[in-house]
Amino acid sequence: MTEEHQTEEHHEYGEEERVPEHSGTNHSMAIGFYIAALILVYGVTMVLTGMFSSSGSEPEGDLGFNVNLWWGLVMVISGCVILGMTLASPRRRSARRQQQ
Amino acid sequence: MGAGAATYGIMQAHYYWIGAIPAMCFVALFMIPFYYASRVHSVPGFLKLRYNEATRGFNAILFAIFMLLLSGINMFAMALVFQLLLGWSLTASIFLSAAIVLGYVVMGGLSSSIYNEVLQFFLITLGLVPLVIFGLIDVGGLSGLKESISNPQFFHVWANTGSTDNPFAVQWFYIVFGLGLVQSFGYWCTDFLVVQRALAAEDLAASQRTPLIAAFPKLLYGVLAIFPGLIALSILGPKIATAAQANNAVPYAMAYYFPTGMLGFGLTALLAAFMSGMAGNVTAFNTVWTYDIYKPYINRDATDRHYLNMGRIATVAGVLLSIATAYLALGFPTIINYVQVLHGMFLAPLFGTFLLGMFWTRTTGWGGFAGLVAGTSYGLITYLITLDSGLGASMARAFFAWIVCLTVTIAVSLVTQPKPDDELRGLVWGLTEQKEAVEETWYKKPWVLAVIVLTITVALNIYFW
Repeated sequence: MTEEHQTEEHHEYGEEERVPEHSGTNHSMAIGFYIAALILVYGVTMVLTGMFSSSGSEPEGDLGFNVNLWWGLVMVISGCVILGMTLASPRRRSARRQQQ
Repeated sequence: MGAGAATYGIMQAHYYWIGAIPAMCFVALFMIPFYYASRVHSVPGFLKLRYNEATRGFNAILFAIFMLLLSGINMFAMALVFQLLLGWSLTASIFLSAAIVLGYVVMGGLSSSIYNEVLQFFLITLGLVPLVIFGLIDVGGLSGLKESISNPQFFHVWANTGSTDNPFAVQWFYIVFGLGLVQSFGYWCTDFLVVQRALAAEDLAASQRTPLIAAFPKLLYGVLAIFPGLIALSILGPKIATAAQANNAVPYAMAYYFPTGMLGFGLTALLAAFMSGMAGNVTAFNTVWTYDIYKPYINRDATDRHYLNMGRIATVAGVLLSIATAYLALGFPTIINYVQVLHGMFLAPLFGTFLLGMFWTRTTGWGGFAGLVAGTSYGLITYLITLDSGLGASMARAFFAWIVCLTVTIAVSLVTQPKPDDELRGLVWGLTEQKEAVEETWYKKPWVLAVIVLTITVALNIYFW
């Protein structure tokens, strides 16, 4: 929040604008990648839990379907979508730049 | 937030809707173009150039205290989850939370806290959405929820605000002006962490879009953060009737619906959210301490290495002090009451100082200083006298603290010497040249987005009237 750190942060982004091919795209790539990876890891773990540990710890509010399996699948799909968007976005960006 | 919903019902959504959306639109349409054209990029920077060194210093000290108190709240919330999860005592849980945050802030610094902020948003969304869906299926939709809670007041955001006979115990005037105007505009206009991220975008149009795009998840969070609290109230009823347990509403609801596996993920998401909040506060504290207090007042000419080490020491000290402030949270009905008491005291007067500094060339350095001190003291003293942490009381306090700040600033300004126009160029609205943003695509135009998001806000408010 200080002047120094803010200008520093601003400066950093300013650099990105000047060399968009490099740091800009790499940055957006990296964070999207981590998000997707994290969600996929959790999602896959939950799907596996849902498939192999069927009995045992039922919660109080049982909804009558395999929560781990189904929400795990939702997360795997979301993870794939985010991964797809991350992979597609730099290409779309550079394509737009080439047109200009 | 779920905690507040379990205690106050759906009126809690005011903090997401009127308490954020109009201010975010205002920031996008008017403030961002101004910041873009002005020559300052931070709160301390603005206060120093527009007012004087004293104003800047006073604000820096207030801000450091504010951050420590907020960080204590996040740590407390995190400790509650650990307490529930591991069954440890609160003290042990608080120390565990402290150790984790300390570890990763010291190792990763600012960038790790920014990364965590983005990551936790996705995690918490994926953790709360199923909770709301499962909960609503289980209790039989909105009507089932209304039936099982059997407190009609909990399902109206405005209907009972003609008098103080509503869960907030406050009239609409203070919701609109205390929360909607002073508190939320104060937060969004003066929190340069928010503004700075927007300014980092590639051009003016893109940075105007940032707060507007952020407003959409905010709408959604009005629902995502509040329904788990209501669902918890409905399924657990008396179990969370005592206020101390209301803080735990969301983890309880998760434990109720989620089986092992999903539960682990849900609680991880909650921990990530609190942790990112706390890491943000601690990082902000160490920068303000090192660069805005230590450097100008205690040790002016030291090497960069010295300041870097000072920052590390400040991080450790900040976490240790947060442990102390975490216990303060125990004294409040719910976490949200505590947060609002702080916002009313620290943000409301600052907004007055900003407003006058930005729009009135006559405002003087000492006028701003006196106003900021008077407004903050008003907030602090009235709170200490009444010790009323009700949400309505906080809104009213924020409003009057702002009025006090404005009045004192104007009064003192009129009897002190104003700065010459030359010094104010690039700092005051009328003396700053602004560029028009160029945006071709119609659905990306800031005002189109603003109209859409405001329309949805109004619709939601009418639906839950």
